[in-house]
Amino acid sequence: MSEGSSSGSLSVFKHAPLVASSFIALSLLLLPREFTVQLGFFEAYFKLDALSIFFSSLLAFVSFYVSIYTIGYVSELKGKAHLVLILTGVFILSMFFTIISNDLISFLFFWEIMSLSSFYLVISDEGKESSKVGFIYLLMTHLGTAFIILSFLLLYIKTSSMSFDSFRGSADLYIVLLALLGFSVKAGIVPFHVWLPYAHPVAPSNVSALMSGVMLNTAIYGMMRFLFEFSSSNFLFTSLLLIVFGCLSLVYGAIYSLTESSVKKFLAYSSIENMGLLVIGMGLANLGLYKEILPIYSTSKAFVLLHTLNHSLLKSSLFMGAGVMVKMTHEYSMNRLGGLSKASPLLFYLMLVSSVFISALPPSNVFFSELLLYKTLFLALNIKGDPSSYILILVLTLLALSGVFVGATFVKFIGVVFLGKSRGAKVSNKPSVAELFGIALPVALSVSIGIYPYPLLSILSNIYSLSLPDLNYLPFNLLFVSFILLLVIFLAMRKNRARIYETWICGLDEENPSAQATTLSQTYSIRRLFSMFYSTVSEINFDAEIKKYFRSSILYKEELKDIFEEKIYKRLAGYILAVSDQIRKILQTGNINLYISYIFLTLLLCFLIYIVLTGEKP
Amino acid sequence: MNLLLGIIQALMVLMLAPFFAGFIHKLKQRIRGQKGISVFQLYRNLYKLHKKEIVLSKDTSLVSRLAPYFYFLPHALLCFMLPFFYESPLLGNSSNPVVLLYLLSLSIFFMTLYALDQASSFGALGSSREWFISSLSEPSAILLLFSLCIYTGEFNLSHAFLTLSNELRSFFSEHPSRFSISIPFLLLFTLLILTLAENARIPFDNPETHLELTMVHEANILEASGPHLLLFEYGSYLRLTLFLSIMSILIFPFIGDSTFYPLAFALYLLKMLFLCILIAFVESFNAKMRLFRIPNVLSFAFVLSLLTLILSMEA
Repeated sequence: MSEGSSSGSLSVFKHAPLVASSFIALSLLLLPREFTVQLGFFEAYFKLDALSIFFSSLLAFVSFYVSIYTIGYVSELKGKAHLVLILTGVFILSMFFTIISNDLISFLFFWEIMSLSSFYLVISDEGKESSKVGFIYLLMTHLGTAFIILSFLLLYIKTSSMSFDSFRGSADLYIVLLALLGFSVKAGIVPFHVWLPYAHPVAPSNVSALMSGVMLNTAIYGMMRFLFEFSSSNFLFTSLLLIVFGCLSLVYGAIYSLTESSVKKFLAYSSIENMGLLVIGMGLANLGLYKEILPIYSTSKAFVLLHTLNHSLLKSSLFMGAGVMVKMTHEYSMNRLGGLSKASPLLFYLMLVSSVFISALPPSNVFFSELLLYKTLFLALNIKGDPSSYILILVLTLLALSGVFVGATFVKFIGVVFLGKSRGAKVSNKPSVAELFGIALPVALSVSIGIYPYPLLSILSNIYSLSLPDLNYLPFNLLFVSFILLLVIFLAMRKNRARIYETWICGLDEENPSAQATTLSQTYSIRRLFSMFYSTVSEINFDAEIKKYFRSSILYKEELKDIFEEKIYKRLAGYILAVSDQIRKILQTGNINLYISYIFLTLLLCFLIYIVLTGEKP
Repeated sequence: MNLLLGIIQALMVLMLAPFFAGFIHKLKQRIRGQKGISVFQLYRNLYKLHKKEIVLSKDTSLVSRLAPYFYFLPHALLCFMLPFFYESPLLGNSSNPVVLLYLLSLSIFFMTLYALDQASSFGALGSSREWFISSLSEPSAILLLFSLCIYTGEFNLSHAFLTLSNELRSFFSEHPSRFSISIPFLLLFTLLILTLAENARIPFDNPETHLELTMVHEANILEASGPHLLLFEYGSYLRLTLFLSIMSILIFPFIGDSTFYPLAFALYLLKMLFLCILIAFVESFNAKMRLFRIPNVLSFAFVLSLLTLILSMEA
């Protein structure tokens, strides 16, 4: 598709997401807190309570700047671009209505619309890859939806009402577990995460920003509804389950995002890691309620809300940045990028700040939310003589470990993609103003939250009536002292001049950009140490030369595979296919007489059942 | 007055950091049978670096100009946070274990970015190994600090250290309160291992060799020059001093108020010199390990810190 014709026909459509997000913002301002819509055969109840207002205003904000980004990004869309744009709008709206739905039918209806529109957006690339990915995505999403429907049906049977208001406090343990299972497929919690690293990278970048930034939050929203509203009491078992699977996702996401070399895939793994954090937070909140210790509940709930916000902001900005990188270079693999900081300094600064912030380094907003989580852990561990708090030592350890991994991941990302020299990818175009503005908005907000976290925290604690303990962290004081120190250093160094020269490479004067870090070399030691978490395939090919010590080329290939996919999903699929093959050999022989006998037998069976059930003679 | 004394304490630590590093260096050389440098040699080195010009590679970006500051700042901030010998440090309100660890991470983050910015393979080696060691030491560090916090029941580290100090005082009074020997001892032992690991000391890393391939910390800052190198070097002295200072508080937690200020400072100096001697001897009697034997030692430290945490939960 050429530039001129596409921009002409897309000029109307490219504002579709913006219209959708403005609609959401307006409806948040203008709509009543509760309203019903008659839709012919059923009434849709909508309700804006504290939880749904938080998530929907987050959605409104994220979709707003992603829409601005989309206006600039439009030329990169492949396939039927106008359809993609309209469906992006539909996707945003369906998420909004999912969040504010107050009865089961409309919730599931919009949930399904959300799944289907995002499915089309994932496969809009129309490549060979995307059809397979789309299948995985559709399958996993519907697996999750099936569990959610099941839990809702059980609730309906229990309460014989469709409205969420009547579900309050009526869900038993198994219903909550089913719902959590369903929502955790959507949130990409390990071991249901397989679709996420495929779907998010394949989708267009504005869509992946929305998917990682907001769509995962809808799953978190559903979990919170079930845990803190529908659940009949606070079960210890759900807490432990959430904490264990959260830890699994946390470590898993961190360790795989570290070794991933695709620019967008590693962000998807990082999303898994953050979802794990949120799930741990919810588990801790549940634990606090179970033990009736209010500070634990308060801090962990504040953590979940704040971290949802922070993760949405930063992950969407990073995904949009990755989209711009791909647009600039048409290259997904980090190992062929490099030196992009010179091609677009502004994008580099934005990505640097996002990376530092999402690595939870002070004074960032993510640091603040993780501090809340650590504070929760401290409060929970401080209860003397409680055996269930020993599992929290594991959480503490894994948090620190994953924190290091995330830091290493983003150092690798910034270092390999933006710093150093180019490793071969050619930069063909520059990011547009709309794109950079769309990325700058969330980054600016993150910075302001990082410096002044307490106003936001007090708003949250007022809305959700949380009683928060002292956190022992005053970012503004730290920044003030750092400012003074920097001033002193600058005064001491004002006379020093900088001279530009070459990098010292031991006297070799060759300009060899391939003698730089790659993702493999960057992560080698950690990969070797944690090799049990990976499923690696590596091969070395020498060219067939006689001279053993003077080879002209050596090819080294290393593939990292998702261990869950390799060891569990593929085997499971293999078993299912084998069993299906066996059944087909027995049942479907191709003999028409056999088929007719099947029909006859089925008829007989139906008659028998009818007779048994009704007791009548036909 | 409080503010002033807190600032003076931080400035003292900032001033003394090169001295401690130089003292260790001198002692190591004496043990080897060399004549050794003056203990004030590192001050001269820093002054010399301050006068030199900065040389930047043509491949670098803004990161190379920022990273030295961001490496130095967290360490300098931490000097304002902890009660080394005076009870109310300037930033005592925000000295919780998470801030401490993540500030150290921030410095590593920027140092490793600096290494990758030079577009040379040495920096890449250094940064990858730095994170490798960090990934092993960070979990034990957090467990260690948390066990301290849980033992004292305070999330604020400066308050936690003060609680230890009060325990010590009550030990010398007529009515001693509960008092644990094992927990501080285990903490000390773990901290010793972590100090060696985090500060590029000998069993883990040897910054004095001439081979970039065997270095970790030094490979990161290979390209730094002039004031940038000054900031990196000074930052690493501060890092060492911080770790040693936390150890010194654990050895004999005497933290004075304004009346005991000079006494506490003298005691702090004594404890620090003792620890410097300890470090120098440990370094001299060990050989540098292979990179992939490091996990064995650090996992030992991890197990110790886990044990400490469990003990402090039970205490």
